[in-house]
Amino acid sequence: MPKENNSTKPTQHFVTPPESHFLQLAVWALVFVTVLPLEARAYTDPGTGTFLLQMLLAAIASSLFFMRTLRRRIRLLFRRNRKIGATEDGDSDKQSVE
Amino acid sequence: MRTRGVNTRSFRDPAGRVIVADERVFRVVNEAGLAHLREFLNSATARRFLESGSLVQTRFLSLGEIGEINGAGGRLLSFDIGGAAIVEHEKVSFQSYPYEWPPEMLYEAGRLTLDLAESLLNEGLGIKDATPYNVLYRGPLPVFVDLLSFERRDPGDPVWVPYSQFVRTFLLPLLVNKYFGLPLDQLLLSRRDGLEPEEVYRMCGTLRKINPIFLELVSTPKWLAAKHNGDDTSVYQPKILDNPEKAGFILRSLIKRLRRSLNSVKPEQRKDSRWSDYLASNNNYSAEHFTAKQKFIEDALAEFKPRRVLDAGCNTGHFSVIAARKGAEVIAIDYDPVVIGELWRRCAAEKLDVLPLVVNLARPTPAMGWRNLEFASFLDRAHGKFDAVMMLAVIHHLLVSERIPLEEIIDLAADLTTDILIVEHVDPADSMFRRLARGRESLHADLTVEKFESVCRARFDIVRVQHLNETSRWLYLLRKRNERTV
Repeated sequence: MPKENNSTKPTQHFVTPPESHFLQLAVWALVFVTVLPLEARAYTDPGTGTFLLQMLLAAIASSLFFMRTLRRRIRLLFRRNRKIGATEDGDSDKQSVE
Repeated sequence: MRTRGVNTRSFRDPAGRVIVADERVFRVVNEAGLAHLREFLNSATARRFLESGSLVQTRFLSLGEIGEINGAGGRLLSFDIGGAAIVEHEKVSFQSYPYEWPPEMLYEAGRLTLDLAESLLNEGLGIKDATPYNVLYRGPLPVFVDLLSFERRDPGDPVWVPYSQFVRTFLLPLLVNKYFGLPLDQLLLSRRDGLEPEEVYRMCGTLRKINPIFLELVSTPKWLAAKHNGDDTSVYQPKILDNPEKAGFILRSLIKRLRRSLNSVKPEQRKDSRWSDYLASNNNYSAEHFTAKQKFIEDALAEFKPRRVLDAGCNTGHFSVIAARKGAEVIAIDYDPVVIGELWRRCAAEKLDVLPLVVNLARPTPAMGWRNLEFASFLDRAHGKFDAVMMLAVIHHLLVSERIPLEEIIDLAADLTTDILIVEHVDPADSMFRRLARGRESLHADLTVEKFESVCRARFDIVRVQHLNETSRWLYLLRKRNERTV
């Protein structure tokens, strides 16, 4: 095992380094600080962490899905508006059937 | 296990069990497993992967066939676990386990697992466990063999249960191998279920902990687990969403994310192995000697046409490739994962029937698992499998570095081959021999050509010998003296 082992302090890892320039780090830290209860446990069930990671990623995917749906709806709304605008102008032969 | 002639595995999965007997593989499947199995086999994904050879061939046995098999060998196949059907699988000719694979092969097995999982999503099916033990290798190509791993998914379920297992058994071992250089055999021999993020976290310095790939796979899970109340098992409750489209989107994102992680721990082609430049530059042969050696081996292979060859101490696999080109199925072993990884790349690219494995002949893979019966030792698997064994430029390593007596080495070779042995004798005067001996040449002073031949004669007949001119090396083609003469 590498020697740097001894230099770490196991209790303080979920404090975000304040001057970090990593955008990704910031996003991760933010999500994880806001989502979780602040309670440290001495014993952890092996495997839980990765399962919780999946929950976290699922939550992120879920919000992406929400944004995607929102974007689609807005686009749809605009398209409908444009369509309405086009028919009102009366310049489209293709839509004259309606 | 071999003494009983029957091998039962796969007892961890309640949906069925595997019976291996007389070079045939059967699987008893119970009612619950059967529905999923039929559905999977009928899927477009299964057909596609069967066609490409990355899924094990499978057929249902009729009651008549089961009776026939049982008639021959007692009550081998029974429905005693509440079995509803028995299927026969194609036998993958040599079983190998993740702790014998170079990282390249673990990566490839992971890729196959994700390919299957992703492709099945479109058909509403999924994989319920993601471990490298679901995969075997046919030559250099991975084959998914655990057909009870598939199930119909609830369309509203956004969780991929084997996610954690995939991280533990594929991603973290590859990560630790890539960044800390720890060999997979050391990681996986002692850990059936892979590595925990906590274990890897302890190996990391502060900066490494926030390196993006470590942050995702190691630090975040570690921090999350530390904050999680262990008594709260509610996270494991199934979470079924009303919107199947949303569940599918989440699931697909998770698998995509795993694929990205797998790509970032993909093993790189390295050149820093102790042995990888051995043949290229640092060997004791002139071009002329090397050609002579190659001709000797080619002639031997052409004359005896072995079907299955074990190349022990294969190094870059130069002679494994020659044997494969002559139509043999080759298992190539060496203890150096770097040369084995390189050989795998080559054989996969050139579609050569070579299965390269990280095995040290002086300390071969032990039997593993429950009662040491789940995974056979390398020697058990190799016993009686090969009609030719090649030990080229390897005996002096066993004699000098490992201090194994010559009689023992020849005895092992005679246990491994059923017919021929191509072996290279290296005299103690050889420069490589001297380099390995480090001044202890006196220990091997009695190792003359005469002694070498007399030891070989205990188990073999000498078919021919060739002294490579001006070197201290001799090539022997030996034939085992046993059942053949009866």
